[in-house]
Amino acid sequence: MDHWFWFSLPDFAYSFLSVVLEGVPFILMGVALSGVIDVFLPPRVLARLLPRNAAAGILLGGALGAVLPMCECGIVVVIRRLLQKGLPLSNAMAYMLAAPVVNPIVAVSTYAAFRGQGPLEMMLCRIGLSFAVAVIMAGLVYFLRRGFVLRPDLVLPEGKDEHHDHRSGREKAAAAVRAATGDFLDVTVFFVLGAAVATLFNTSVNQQVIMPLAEDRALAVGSMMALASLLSLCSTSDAFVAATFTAFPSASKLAFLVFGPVVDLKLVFIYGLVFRKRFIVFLVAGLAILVFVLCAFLPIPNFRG
Amino acid sequence: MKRVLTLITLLLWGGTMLYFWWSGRIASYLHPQFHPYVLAAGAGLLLLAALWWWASRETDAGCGECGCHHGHDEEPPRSRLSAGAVFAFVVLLLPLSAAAFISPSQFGEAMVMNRGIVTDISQLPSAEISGGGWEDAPAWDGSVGDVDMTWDEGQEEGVEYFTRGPDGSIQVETLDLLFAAQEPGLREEFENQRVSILGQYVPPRGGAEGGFNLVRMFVVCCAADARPLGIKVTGEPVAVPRMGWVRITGVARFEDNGGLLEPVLELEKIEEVEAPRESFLY
Repeated sequence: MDHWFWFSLPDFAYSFLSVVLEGVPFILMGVALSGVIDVFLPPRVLARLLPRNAAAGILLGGALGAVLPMCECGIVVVIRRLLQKGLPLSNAMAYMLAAPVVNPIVAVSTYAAFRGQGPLEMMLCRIGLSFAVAVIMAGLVYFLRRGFVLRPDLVLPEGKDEHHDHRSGREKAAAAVRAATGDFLDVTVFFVLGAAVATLFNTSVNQQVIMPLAEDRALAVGSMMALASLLSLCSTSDAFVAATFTAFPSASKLAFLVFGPVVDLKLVFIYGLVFRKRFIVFLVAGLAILVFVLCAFLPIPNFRG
Repeated sequence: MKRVLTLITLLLWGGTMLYFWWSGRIASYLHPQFHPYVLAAGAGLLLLAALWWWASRETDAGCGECGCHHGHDEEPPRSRLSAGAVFAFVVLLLPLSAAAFISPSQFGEAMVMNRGIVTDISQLPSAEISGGGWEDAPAWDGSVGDVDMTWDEGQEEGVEYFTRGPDGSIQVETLDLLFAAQEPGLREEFENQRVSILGQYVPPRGGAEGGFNLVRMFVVCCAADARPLGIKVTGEPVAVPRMGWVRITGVARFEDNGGLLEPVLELEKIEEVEAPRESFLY
């Protein structure tokens, strides 16, 4: 290895554009879903759909991605709208953390990517660990005040946004368009900043620098988590990249696949749209510790075949 | 002002996405399965821009009489620009425009060296043998996309599976030789055969002697996850720009490199060609 950093502006611009072109349609889908929620999902309907028991609500939130899959770029704007509608914070957190992985699209791509490396085991472990991590974090968030977690403009008491709406259809439609446009611009600003930082690493740093870490399981898990955050790949395609690290133990590849979709450089920026900075630090630290402990210390064998 | 900047932003983003789709540049950025999404997003953003222009002129009657607050947490579209809003518009407008202008639509050598050249097909679990066709590659006369490279499903597997060029060489992709290195039957059939491959010319840095690499990018979703697939070519480095597109004709061999069999081409002929419409392998 004759260098560890080599920056090229054309490479940066090219890779950055590819991330943007891939991500924007999904942000727009999130914005559209957010608009639909805004217009067609009154808070009282949401309250009626949710279980009264908090634990059941969290488990349901964690499994919701199976029927309402969203990628990590689009989900934050949906969560923001659901929180404005009075969805309990812990339920929203479980959905936000689980949906990018606990869904059929990611299950299939993970299975396909790990052909010859225990595809079924990797797929089940990824979904199981992601669900567990989402539910545990959401359980912790249940005990936090909304004021600690959410930006001030989102701190409405749960289920207290209920009131009549006497606007005409035309006024409602105009308000929905203004809200959708605001959502798109807000999330895209953070997405552009995050994509730029991730692209800087992705194109400029020699990826051979982490290869010596493969020999120690804890180091391998930690380095693959860091790599997942820095690369900021889409959860539907990250398995194909993780599978190429054949020298690394399966547990470290699971760490990559579980941690990356919930903590990456662009997501940390996008989380700023909904959460306070101090909570983002808490969330990132909590997820890092949780994923590291699960992947470094659970008896996960090296899957083959 | 904010109203106009919002409109410009939506038009720029929608227009850029439609331009990449319409011009075909999108093929150098994303896997084909994502192309329709780019078209839909571009059209959706232009529609949103039109709706925004209408909605921003609509006044909300407000709820002064009843004292409730729904729908009024939005910032008025005609409000003045804060410093934060100026920064947001700079972030939304500048990087996209600059990147679209600067981007050469293909990676350079820095990225190849940072990612590392892949010579072991087991590192690419989703890779499949190419089918022997070069539908989007430049033809033998240098024109692009007019070669009939259809593959007959009834053909036997092995080298007969691949198309031959006018000089009798077997037309393959880098992927095919990497596969052959791991498949004893296919390896035997390719050994000492004349093959022809399209790729990018990557000579060793510092002018070292002993051949060069022929590289082609393998992509799963988008250029950001590209992995450079490389075939070693023995022969003297030639006067071709680094990362320039070339067609190599040479004799295929397989060498043991630390327990891993790798394909090596003995160079017979090298020609500079245009970049193919579809530069990636999937």
